[in-house]
Amino acid sequence: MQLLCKQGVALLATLLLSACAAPQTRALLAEPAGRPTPLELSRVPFHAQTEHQCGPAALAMLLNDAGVAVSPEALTPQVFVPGREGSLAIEMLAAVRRYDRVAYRIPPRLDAALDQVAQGRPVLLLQNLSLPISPLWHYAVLIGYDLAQRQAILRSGITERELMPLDTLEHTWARGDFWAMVVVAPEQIPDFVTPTEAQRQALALERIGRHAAARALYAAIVARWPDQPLARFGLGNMAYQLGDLRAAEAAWLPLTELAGGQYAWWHNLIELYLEQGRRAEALALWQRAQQRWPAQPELAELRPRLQP
Amino acid sequence: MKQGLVSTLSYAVLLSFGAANLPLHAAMLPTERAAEQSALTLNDERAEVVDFLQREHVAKALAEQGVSSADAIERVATLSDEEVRELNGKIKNLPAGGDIVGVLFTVFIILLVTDILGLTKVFPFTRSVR
Repeated sequence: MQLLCKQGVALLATLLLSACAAPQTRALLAEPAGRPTPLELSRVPFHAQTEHQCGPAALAMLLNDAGVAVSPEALTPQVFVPGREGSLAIEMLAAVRRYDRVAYRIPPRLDAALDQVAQGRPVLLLQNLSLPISPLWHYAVLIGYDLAQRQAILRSGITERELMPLDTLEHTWARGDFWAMVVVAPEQIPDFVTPTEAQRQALALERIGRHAAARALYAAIVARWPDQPLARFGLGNMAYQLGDLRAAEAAWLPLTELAGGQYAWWHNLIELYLEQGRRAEALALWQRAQQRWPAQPELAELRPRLQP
Repeated sequence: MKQGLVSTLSYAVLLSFGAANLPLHAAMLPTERAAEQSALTLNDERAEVVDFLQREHVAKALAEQGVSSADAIERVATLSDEEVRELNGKIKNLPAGGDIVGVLFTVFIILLVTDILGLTKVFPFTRSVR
């Protein structure tokens, strides 16, 4: 018992010490780096959560702000897990694809979250409001902050405008592994996003048949990283699926001039030529492909269709 | 009955999985065919089967947690391959954000203190000393 008490005192002392030190908050306030403050995205709509439904409520706020009219109730069957009385982060990221939007996980740092708000994007974050021994997982939406007051402004639970000390936000968010996301239209790629991640999102949109959104994202990737052949290929594929054959050809043709490359790039262009009755061009491309990939089974399958 | 439900679910996952992967014009290859690290670039049909089984597994796990079969199938379809791998086998354990209240009384006092210290924010009535 005495030992327990001693441990308790030690624990309390540690807590007291660490309470003063939310390290990122301290660093951030020491060097505000010209960050605009105070700042609040008051336009972000609010949905009060019902029991266990903070996931759908928070997601609806971000989607609404990104121009999608959807209610938390409509999102419940898409992200809520009854047996867990909550929503899983991965499903929160994936659900927005059904609305032709893209969710990106932000870098796991307080300054990154504030930067997103400063760029006009509300940030959905996963907090553990309690301690690891008895976790209380919660999604809230960061809509602003006031560095002078050392406060974060949240839409959270049933509170439309919750003021939370930045230190507390950092502590609770750290226990949620600094998991947070933003939702954007496919044309927008936030500056922290890597080309690999953007491509992953575009592939996921394509996979569920959101062709127009996937096309917009592939186009944005090509515009920002012109040396990404996969995005160019995808751009052509989506243009093709949407019936824009001219744009598909324009996207694919330069790919056949690249050294190395992927058979699929060539294959789809050959298919396009065949579909348009441009047999001579199809044959010429097929012969060049045959030199590069002599054992490609699809080339053998194409062969009979090339005969006049 | 349970067996029946599960096999219906498998069948439906198979259908939705197949439909999602089929391009409108079957002759065209989808973009993921050219993606690096994609199962398809490796030209390994086993990898495709593994991906399908993982999706089926995740859909079943969601259904076991009370999600309707139809919703579970749609939800799995929206996941990327990487997301399926991340979820597979972990639906019971990953953090599920949901609550704002509902703490065991046994930890009430600790949390009251930590709330006041600004380490936690469990109770709406606490104000941090900061």
